[in-house]
Amino acid sequence: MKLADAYILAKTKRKTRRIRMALVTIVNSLLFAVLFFGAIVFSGLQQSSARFENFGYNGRNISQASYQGQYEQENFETLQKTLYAQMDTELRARKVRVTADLHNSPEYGAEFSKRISDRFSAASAAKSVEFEKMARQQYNPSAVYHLQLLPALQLLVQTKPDDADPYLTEQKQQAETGASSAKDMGGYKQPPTYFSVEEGMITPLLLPGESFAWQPGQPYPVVMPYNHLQDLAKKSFAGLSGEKKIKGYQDLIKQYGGKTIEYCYRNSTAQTQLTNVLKYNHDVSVDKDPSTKPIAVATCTGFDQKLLKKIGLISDTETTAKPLFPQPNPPAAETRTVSVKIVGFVPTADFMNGDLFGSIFASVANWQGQFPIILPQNVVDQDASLRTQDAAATSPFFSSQLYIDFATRADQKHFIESVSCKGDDCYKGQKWLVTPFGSIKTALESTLHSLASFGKWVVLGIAVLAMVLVLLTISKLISDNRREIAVFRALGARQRDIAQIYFTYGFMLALSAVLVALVLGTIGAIVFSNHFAERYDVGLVQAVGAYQNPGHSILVGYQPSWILGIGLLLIAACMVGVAIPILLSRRRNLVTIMREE
Amino acid sequence: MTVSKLPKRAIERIITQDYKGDSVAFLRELEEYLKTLPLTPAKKKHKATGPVLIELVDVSRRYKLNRKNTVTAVDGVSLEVRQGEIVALTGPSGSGKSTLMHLIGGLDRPSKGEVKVNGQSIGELSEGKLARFRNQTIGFVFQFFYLQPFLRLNRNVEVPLMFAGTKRSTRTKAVREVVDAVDLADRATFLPKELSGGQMQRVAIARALVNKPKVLLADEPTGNLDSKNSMAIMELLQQIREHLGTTIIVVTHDPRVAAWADRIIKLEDGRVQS
Repeated sequence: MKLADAYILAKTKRKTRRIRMALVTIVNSLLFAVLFFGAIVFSGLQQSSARFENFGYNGRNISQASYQGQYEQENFETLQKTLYAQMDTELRARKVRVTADLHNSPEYGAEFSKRISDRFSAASAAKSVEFEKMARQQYNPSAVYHLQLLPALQLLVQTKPDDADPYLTEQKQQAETGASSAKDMGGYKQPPTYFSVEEGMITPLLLPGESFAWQPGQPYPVVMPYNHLQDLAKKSFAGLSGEKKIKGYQDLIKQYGGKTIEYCYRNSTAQTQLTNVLKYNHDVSVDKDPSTKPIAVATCTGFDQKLLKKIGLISDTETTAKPLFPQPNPPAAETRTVSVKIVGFVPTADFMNGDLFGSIFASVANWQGQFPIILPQNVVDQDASLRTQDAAATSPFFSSQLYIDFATRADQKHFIESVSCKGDDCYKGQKWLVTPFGSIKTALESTLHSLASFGKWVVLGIAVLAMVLVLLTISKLISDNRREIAVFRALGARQRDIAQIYFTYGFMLALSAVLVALVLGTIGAIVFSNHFAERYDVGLVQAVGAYQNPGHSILVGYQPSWILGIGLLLIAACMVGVAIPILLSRRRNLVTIMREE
Repeated sequence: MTVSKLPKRAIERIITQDYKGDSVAFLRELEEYLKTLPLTPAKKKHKATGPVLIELVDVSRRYKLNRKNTVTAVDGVSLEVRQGEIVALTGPSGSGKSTLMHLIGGLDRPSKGEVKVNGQSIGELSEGKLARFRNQTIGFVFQFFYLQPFLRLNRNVEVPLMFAGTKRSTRTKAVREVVDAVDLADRATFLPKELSGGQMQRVAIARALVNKPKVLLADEPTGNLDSKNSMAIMELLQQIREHLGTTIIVVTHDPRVAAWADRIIKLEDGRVQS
């Protein structure tokens, strides 16, 4: 039987079963459209992200290198027991009754956290030293920054007094309603990451032999966390969208990037931190970039007391309760001005969770930590299973981070390829996790890769679903048409002629669904692109700290191999669905069908 | 019309004398009388002299109803049909007419005995060869026509050629010929729903003939038609026999239709009665 004839006969099936045919086509094409939509948007994302390849900040080649080590579970537990025993002994010596409740108290937890971090920071520091040594020997970077965060910069963000602080508002509300402000982190109070200054956010790294040697009159190099930039942005152009927002971000980056900013601090905590920052920064004698050297610390007057209270650097009321563990006397209050030069931006957790694109960027962030997010040390919720039932336990992780300013892009690339860890290795403390700071290409690629591997299962699932749908349709059709089949057989049709007719019909069904799906998927992708491309632009501009947007994102792209592959797979699945009822129907007896009246 | 040639005076006389001028009563009785006459014009029976085309030797067909019971639809039938013969298979329902026709048409195989059509033994043919046999040697006409509702007339007629894999140029010619033969050339592009019952059956006959089969098997071809159309169909079958020499087997339980046949074979309980 010729194909054209099979088509003529199959076409009549379509007419006789118009409604069913339409329904199956609609359902199938909706299912298929999901896949085509995914494929189109996915390649659109890839193409849009590729534009940012090698789009570095400010022409500098800064990489974030972080080392995350996990202490052996056994050792950690032993250490925990030892520390608990120590603390309990101290308390008992002061005639404090040690109870389970006491163990669960935030204060006890905080003390434990402090003691354990004291121990771990030594190891962390040693690693950093080792790493920096290697980087300097091999690549001769312009500068190496030992900063994790510069919390003092947050003061800068707070200089608009009418700004409502969501974290503090929440705390206040909780205090009023009597709810506990401590987030349930196994009983450990999660430190606020928003506008708060935490002890330990700046790693006290002192390289052996190095001293506090910045020259007065020179700006101090810092890496500005992105959420601060974002906070500035919120105040500056809240409510704006698209073009204006992108423009705003670009303006801010221009405004702060490479500039010197003056700020004040006056508080023992802030003072300690700043001293640490200044004291333990890079070795200026090795630094080849004169603009990255620290400068003067001068006295600052007129500091806003209200502001300090608001952000919790000084408290309104003195605590009357006696502290559980006696703390060393804080240094005397001091007011100072420091000017810093911003040489980079770090996207942070707030940026991830806040606006835009949450899911994609958050997933990047969670993707084995390849995204350069900076989180407070020692309280990172890395693995819930490692938080022991003991409420006071802290995470048995330690980490240290450096920022390396490479002289050339090639150096940076080589460095990343040769020393960077992959996947689980990053948590075994064997290698460093190095991300190109200023390009999110690697991180995006990982996300896209994980999306693709997830997509595989979606494709398979939908193919199976389509197969079942077609199978049911064709079975019903064959059973409805059994008389017609018998008549055709009487007129001389062979089994294969009949099979050919229904295969052609099934193919038409599948092909029309695929074509409709392609159109629907494209429409969907265009709509999606119209809604989200601008936000994606903003996200990319922010993430790479771009001065300008290298062209607008269009989240519609066609990769011929994907479109063809998906189309063929779906048609193949449908054809399997056609073949089964055809094979089953061969066994039907012609005469019995003819006799049915 | 031949009716107008009837002796008018003689009829007038009968009406005035026997029916006292009541022509309506005369017509009513005339109608009753005409119904008793056979549909066939009093023609001389055709005497087939060709070679034997269909030969059944002690053919039986049993069906399994369930595990224990079987039914014998055709029981030891032996018959011969010569080329160019019109044979009517009659008998009450369940007498095995259709089964016998299916056996001759190669839709079914005998449980016992031999069915030989055109020198080929049905029981020995493979599935594929049997399909070829149905396509080339047999033409089927059904009571309910079974046309494809969404195919135009000429396409419907073309269907057996599709299964035969005939060339397109040959097809158009063959289709035109048979559509002409059944006198439907002016409706070649009509859909079945635009045709009358008689026309549809003519389409079905054209479809059966398109491959120039040796045997035409008609299963109650007039069962769904009024007497006028039935007559026309039977007349058409006779013409076909005359022009193409096709052997025709008509399954029917209408004695008026059977009267058109050269030979009537009566079946009862799967056996030949006469």
